[in-house]
Amino acid sequence: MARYHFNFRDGRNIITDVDGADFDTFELAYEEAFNAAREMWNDRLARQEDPRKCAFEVTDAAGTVLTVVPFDEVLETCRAHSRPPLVMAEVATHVERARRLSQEIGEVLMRTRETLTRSRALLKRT
Amino acid sequence: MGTRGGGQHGYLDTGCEHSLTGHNETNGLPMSRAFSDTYSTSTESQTEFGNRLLDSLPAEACIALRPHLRIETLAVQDVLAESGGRAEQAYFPIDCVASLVTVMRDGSGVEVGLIGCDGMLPVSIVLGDAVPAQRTIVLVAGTALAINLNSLRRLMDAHPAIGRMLLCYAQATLNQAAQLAACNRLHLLEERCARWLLMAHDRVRRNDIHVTHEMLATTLGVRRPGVTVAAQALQAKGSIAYRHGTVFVLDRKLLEAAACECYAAITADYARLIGEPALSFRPVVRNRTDRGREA
Repeated sequence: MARYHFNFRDGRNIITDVDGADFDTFELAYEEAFNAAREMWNDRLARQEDPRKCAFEVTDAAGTVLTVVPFDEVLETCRAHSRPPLVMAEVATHVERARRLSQEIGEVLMRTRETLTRSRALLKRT
Repeated sequence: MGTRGGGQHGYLDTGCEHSLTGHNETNGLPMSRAFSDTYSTSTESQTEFGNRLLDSLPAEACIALRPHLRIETLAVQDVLAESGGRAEQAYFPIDCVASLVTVMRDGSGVEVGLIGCDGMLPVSIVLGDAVPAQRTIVLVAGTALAINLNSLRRLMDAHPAIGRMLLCYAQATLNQAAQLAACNRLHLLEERCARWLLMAHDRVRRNDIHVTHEMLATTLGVRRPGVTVAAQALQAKGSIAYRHGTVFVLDRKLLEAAACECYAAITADYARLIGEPALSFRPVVRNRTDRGREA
């Protein structure tokens, strides 16, 4: 059980969810944001406000943003071909990004080492 | 409208009355009162019970009832009646507020009635049915007068005024449920939040209503994050403030302006059937008149 907060963004404003609520898993907290977004579509449309500009930012108790649930994610479930669940897709992109970053860091490290070796050789010659 | 207090009570706002009068005029509702026509009711001295139904009764019925009533303190989330269960006693709330909820098999539900100092429960017993069809759950802690069901039945037989009053209340409850059914389908969440807060404000008779967004969401049948957004919109307008599970009513007129028509409709219908509220039953109102909104 952990506390999650659902900050709301509509393009102009952010409404901070001070109370938050407890959920057993992150998936259940995500579901809460998703279902709340689904319920809020109608009211937004009735007010002639574009729901696609809205999003819930799910954070942990410390305020770290765990995921962002844009309201148009609700539409994704209506697409004919079922796609991998959005949370999993998001995790996959994060993993991919981490892999790419660590590779880049490795390359930079290698180049730095080469430069260092060359500098030492130059220093010995002088 | 002869039961209203005089104008010497400057701290009480009359905004609520304006809206009610407006409602009656626009809808052309007859101002006859089914119960209070029969008896002179709701005078300021007759608020000894702290419940509008009991205080609307003639003196002899009050005297007969009094020995059977005992004060009970009710806590938040207390279930006073369960759908399909069996009622043991009836409650006449004084300053607690209970919600009548129709519960679905998956546990979700929507409020179909709000009961406070204006009512009693379970209303089904008035019509001879001891099996409540809805769950009644306490939303705001407080006290209520409890009475054994058999005692109440006997008193209803012995004192026709009690039976007539309770039948009028049963009618008011039916009308409220019908209004809420339409409201839940047709009105925006922000309007419904404002409507609920006004109804609760009338019933707790304080400016601070102890209700979390979580409870408000369960009541309105929506997810909690949506209520937080709607409540924030009401807060941005200056009508309420919210802190740590307490809603503070800052400006009742603004809250009335933000609510759907259902608040005025329910309040006017109740007043028609049971009577206008005595002074002590009118909400404590502190409007921010110095805000210069019109400027």
